[in-house]
Amino acid sequence: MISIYICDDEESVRHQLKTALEWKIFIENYDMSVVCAASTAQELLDTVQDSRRGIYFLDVDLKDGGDGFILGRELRRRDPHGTLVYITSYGDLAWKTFQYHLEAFDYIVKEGDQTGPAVARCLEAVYARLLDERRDPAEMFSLRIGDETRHIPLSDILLFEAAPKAHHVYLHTADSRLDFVGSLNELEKELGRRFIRVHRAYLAAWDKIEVVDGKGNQVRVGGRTCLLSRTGKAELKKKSGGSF
Amino acid sequence: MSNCTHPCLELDAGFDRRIGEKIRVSTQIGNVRVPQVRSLLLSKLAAMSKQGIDCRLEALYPVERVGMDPWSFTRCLGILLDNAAEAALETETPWVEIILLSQKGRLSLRVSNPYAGMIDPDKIWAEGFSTKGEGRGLGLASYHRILADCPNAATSTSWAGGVFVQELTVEETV
Repeated sequence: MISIYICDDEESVRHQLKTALEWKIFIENYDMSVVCAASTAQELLDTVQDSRRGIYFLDVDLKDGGDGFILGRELRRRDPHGTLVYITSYGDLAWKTFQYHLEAFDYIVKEGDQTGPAVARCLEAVYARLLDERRDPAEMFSLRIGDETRHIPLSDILLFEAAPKAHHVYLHTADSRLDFVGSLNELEKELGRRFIRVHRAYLAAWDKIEVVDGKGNQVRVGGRTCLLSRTGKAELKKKSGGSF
Repeated sequence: MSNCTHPCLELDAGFDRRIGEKIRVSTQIGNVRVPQVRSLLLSKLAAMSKQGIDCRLEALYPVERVGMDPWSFTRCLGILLDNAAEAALETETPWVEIILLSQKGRLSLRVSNPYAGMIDPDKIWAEGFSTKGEGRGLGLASYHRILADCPNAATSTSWAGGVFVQELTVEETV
């Protein structure tokens, strides 16, 4: 059962959202329930105790000086896999900031009596995504960059590389290289089975290794070249049962 | 003069937070309070607009500090914007998106643009890399060289789905 939370300082808006959502839940027979219609951020936070994958409809501009973004941050801390939807009175908020830094799902512009239907359509989209996630739950790697946690599907990761900067690690996927503070030793411990330490500075995804060049002391992983050390060679031999 | 600027700054801050943000969110340059960065943004945004590039700047919170030498940061920003504009112009609908997020103790910069052509991950950080061909794009090498001297800066790059994204995060050292 998924919990839905609303936060808006206007009673009429709270009522409108609650009505639209409850109606949508009823006619579609979703396993969801609107459990809270708060007028302040604090009231909402007091209600969110043990929430897992809740859906939050949040007013961006709360009059008590509350900050929709900071509220989103706090909700992310408590419910990392929850869905955040922002409601705004103005068409052009700093949407990309919310999208990238909070992984906000969508935003809805308040437009009189069109707000209800817009919220209902949004709920339908959220439902579709939740279904997708349940059908195909990808194993995720959590990357912490300061206050934010990014989720990267483990199967997308080609390798981790020790960055030139002390305590920094590069995470390589087919189309990105992310820089974060971490340690290859700890990552190796954490991800043991699926990754292999081919070199002091490289931790490669086992199933992404394409070519092993023993003479040239390198390994080709998903199109990237990594160094291969003697210890790395031993690891490879061990893992592949003697042949590679 | 100094008597005049203080109330103006206060008004500006209040205006930004409550009303300004709502009225001109898409041009949040008012939130960029570091003079060098502000100047650079103003001139680059103007130049890009003139070239027909659709620009978007978001600065949800006031950017008052950078956490590294402001001139170095400005230089890095300039390089990223030049690269972004050059690559975007090769596409049908050129756009550049700049997201600045100032949080307690951290500044995050994100520059995105569409690109045409292929990106070779092995060459991407090498001297002279550019989607436009060999010998161009010395900027990125300088960019990384400047940041190599900043232990509290982290850079991330991604190029999925035809969109090139450069991220620079600077942690404020205590």
